[in-house]
Amino acid sequence: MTSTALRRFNPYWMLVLPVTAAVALLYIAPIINILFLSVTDPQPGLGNYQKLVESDTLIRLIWTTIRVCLITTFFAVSLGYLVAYTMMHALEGQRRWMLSILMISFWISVLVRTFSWLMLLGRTGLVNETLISVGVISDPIAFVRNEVGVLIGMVDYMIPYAVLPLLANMRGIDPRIMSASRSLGASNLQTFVRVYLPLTKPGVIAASLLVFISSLGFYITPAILGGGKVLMIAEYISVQLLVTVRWGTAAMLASIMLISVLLLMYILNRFMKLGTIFGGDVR
Amino acid sequence: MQESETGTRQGPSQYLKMESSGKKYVRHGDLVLQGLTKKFGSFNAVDSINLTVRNGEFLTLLGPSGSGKTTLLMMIAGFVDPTAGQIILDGSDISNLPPEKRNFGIVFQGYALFPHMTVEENIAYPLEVRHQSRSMISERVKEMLDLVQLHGLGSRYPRQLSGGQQQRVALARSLAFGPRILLLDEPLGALDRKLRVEVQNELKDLHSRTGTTFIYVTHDQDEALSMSDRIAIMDRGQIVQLDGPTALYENPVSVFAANFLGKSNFVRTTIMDIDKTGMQFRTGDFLIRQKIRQSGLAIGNKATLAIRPEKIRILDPSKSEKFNNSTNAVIRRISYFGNVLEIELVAPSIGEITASVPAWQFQGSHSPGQSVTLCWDEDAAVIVRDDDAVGET
Ligand SMILES: Nc1ncnc2c1ncn2[C@@H]1O[C@H](COP(=O)(O)OP(=O)(O)OP(=O)(O)O)[C@@H](O)[C@H]1O
Ligand SMILES: [Mg+2]
Repeated sequence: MTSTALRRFNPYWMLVLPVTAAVALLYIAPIINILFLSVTDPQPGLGNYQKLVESDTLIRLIWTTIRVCLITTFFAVSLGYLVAYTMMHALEGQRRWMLSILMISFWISVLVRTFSWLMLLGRTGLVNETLISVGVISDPIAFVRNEVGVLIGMVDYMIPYAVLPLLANMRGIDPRIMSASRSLGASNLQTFVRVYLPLTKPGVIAASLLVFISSLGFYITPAILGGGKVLMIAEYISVQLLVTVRWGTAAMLASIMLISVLLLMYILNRFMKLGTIFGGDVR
Repeated sequence: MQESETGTRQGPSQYLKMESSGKKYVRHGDLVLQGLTKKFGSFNAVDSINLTVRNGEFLTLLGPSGSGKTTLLMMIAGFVDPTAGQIILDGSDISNLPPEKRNFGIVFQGYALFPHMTVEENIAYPLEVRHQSRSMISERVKEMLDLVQLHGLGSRYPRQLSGGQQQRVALARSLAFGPRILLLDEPLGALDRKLRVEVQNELKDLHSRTGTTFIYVTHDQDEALSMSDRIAIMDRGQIVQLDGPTALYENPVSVFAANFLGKSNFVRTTIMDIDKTGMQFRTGDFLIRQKIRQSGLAIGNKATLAIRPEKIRILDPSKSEKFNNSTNAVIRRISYFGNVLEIELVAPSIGEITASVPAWQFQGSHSPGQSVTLCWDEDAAVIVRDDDAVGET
C-alpha cells in the first residue's frame, strides 16, 4: 500500500510546497478565521445570522446589492455580446485593435474610471453643461449620486469581463454551421435566433455568472457614484469594520458573500470549465 | 457505373470549346457559369470559368490544394461574391441572390451539423424555416432517415454519432427540402478508407435515386473516377480539362492532367512522319510508332507523349520476338503495392520509365539490376500539352 502511494507521489510537488504553504497561511487561515468570527463575536451562536431575517437594514442592503448586480449583469452581458459579436465579424486587423482597447480598459484603475464618470456626468459635468448650453435641458439631469450612476459605472467596468468569455465561446463555433443554416433556407435573422444564440448560451451563462460574482464585491464605484444613497454589501462591511466596529456582523456578511460566490462558481464550472473562460476551446 | 460520354473519340479540347460557346446546349435545370472569376486582391482564385452543369449529372471538381475548388463552389452557393461573371439557372442570373434563396443544398467538409439539435431536428430545420406543416415535416424527416438508413437514431445528438453517420445526417439534411442542386465540398475527407468506399457507393446510389444535380469537390482521384459522370480538372483557378472519367483518363490534354488523374510516363519527341494510319516520333535514336491522328501538327514539330504505366509491357529479352516500340532497359527498383508491382526502369533510349504490372504475375520473377525489354502498343500513347514548356509547340 505505502509503496504504491510512494510511487504515485510526484517529487515535483515539493516545488510548489512553499507557495502552497504561504497561500494556506496567508489566505485560507484568515478566511477560516472570518467564518469563525461570524459565529463567535460578540457571543457564540448564530445570533449574527439571525439578524439577516430580523434587521430591515440588512434585508434592504442585500436586496439592493442583488438588484444592482442583476441589472449590471443584464446590461454588461447584453452590451458585451454586441461587442464580442462585432469583434468576431470584424476584419483581422480591426479585431486586434478592438482587443487592445479592451485590454487597456482592463488595466485602468477602477478609481480613475469612476472619477471619470463623475466628471462626465456630474451636475457640472461635461454632458450636463453641454446639454444646458445647447438648450436641450434647463436643469442638470441627475446621472450620478444615485442608483443610475452606480449602474452606469458598474456596467462600464464589467463589459470587458463579459466580452472575454463570450469571445472564447464564439471563437469555438464553426462558422460553417451558420453558412449551413443559410444554405438550408434560413435568413440571417433566423440563423441568429435559431442557431447562433443557442450555441452561445454557454458563453452567456459564463459571462453572466462572472459579471454577477464580480459585481457583488464592488466597493469604490457604489461609494462614489451612489453618493451615499446606494449602500451595497462591500461598503457596509467596511463600515461595520472601521466605524461601528461590529466585527461579528461584518464577518457574517463576508461569510454569506463567500458562500454565495463559491456556490455560483460551482454552477459556473458546470457550464464551462473555469480554465477555458479566458481563452481556449469551449468543449 | 458507366459514364455518359459524349462522342467517344471527341478531343477534350474541342469539348471545352463547345462548353464556352454552347448556349444552344443549355436545357432546363442546367447551371451555366460564364466567365466566373474571383479575385482576392490581385490573385485570381477562380479565373474566368465557363462551365455548364447538366441537370441531374454528377460533376466532380478535381484539383490540387489551392486550385480554387472551394471558392468556386462557394460562389455557386452564394457565400462568395464573384468579382466578375455570371451564374445562370433557367435563364436568370442568380449571382446576386442570397444563399437562402438559391435552394441549393450544401454538404460542408466537417458536416457543419447543428450540435444543439437532434438528428431529427437537424433534418427538420430546412423545412421549419420554410414554414411547412408539422405533419408534413415529420413525414419528410422519416422519409429522409430511411433514405440514408438512419432509422432509430433520430433522437440522438450529432456528437453521439460516428463520422459516417454524421455524414449521412448532413446529406439527409441538405436533401430534405428537395434542393435544385447539391454541392458537396470534400464530404468524405474525414472518413477512413473503408468507410469512404462505403459512403461513396451510398452517395452514388443516392444520386441516381434522387436525380438531383451533384457538384462534388475532391482532391482524391479514385473518388472522382469511380463516382462522376464528368470530371473537371482544376489548376490555378482554371478548368484544365472537362470530360467523362474514361475519356479523361485515356486522353489527358496536358502533362498536368495526365499526372493529376493517375500516373503517367512522358516521352519528349520530335514528329518524324505523318501518314493515314498514324505518326512516327523520334527521341534520340529511338523511333516510336503510334496510331495517333491529330490535326494541327506537322513533321518536325515537338510532341510530348504520355504513356500510362500499366500500358508498358515487360518482356524477357531472350525470348522476346521483335515488337514495335520496344527497347532495352534495366530494372532499377521494384515497389510492391499488393495488387500491382511498380517497376522503375532506365532505358538508354528514352530515360526513366515506370511500369505497373499485376503482382500475381510478376512476383519474384524480376529483380533490380536485371536487363529486360520494354514495349508498348501502338495505341498506348497520347500527345499531351507540355505545361513546363509553354509555347514550344
Ligand atoms: N478569403 C480569402 N482571402 C484570400 N485568399 C483566399 C481566400 N479564400 C481562398 N483564398 C485563396 O484562393 C485560393 C483557392 O482557395 P480554395 O479554398 O478555393 O482552394 P481549394 O481548391 O478548395 O483547396 P483545398 O483542396 O485545399 O480545399 C487559395 O490560394 C487560397 O489561398
Ligand atoms: Mg477546399
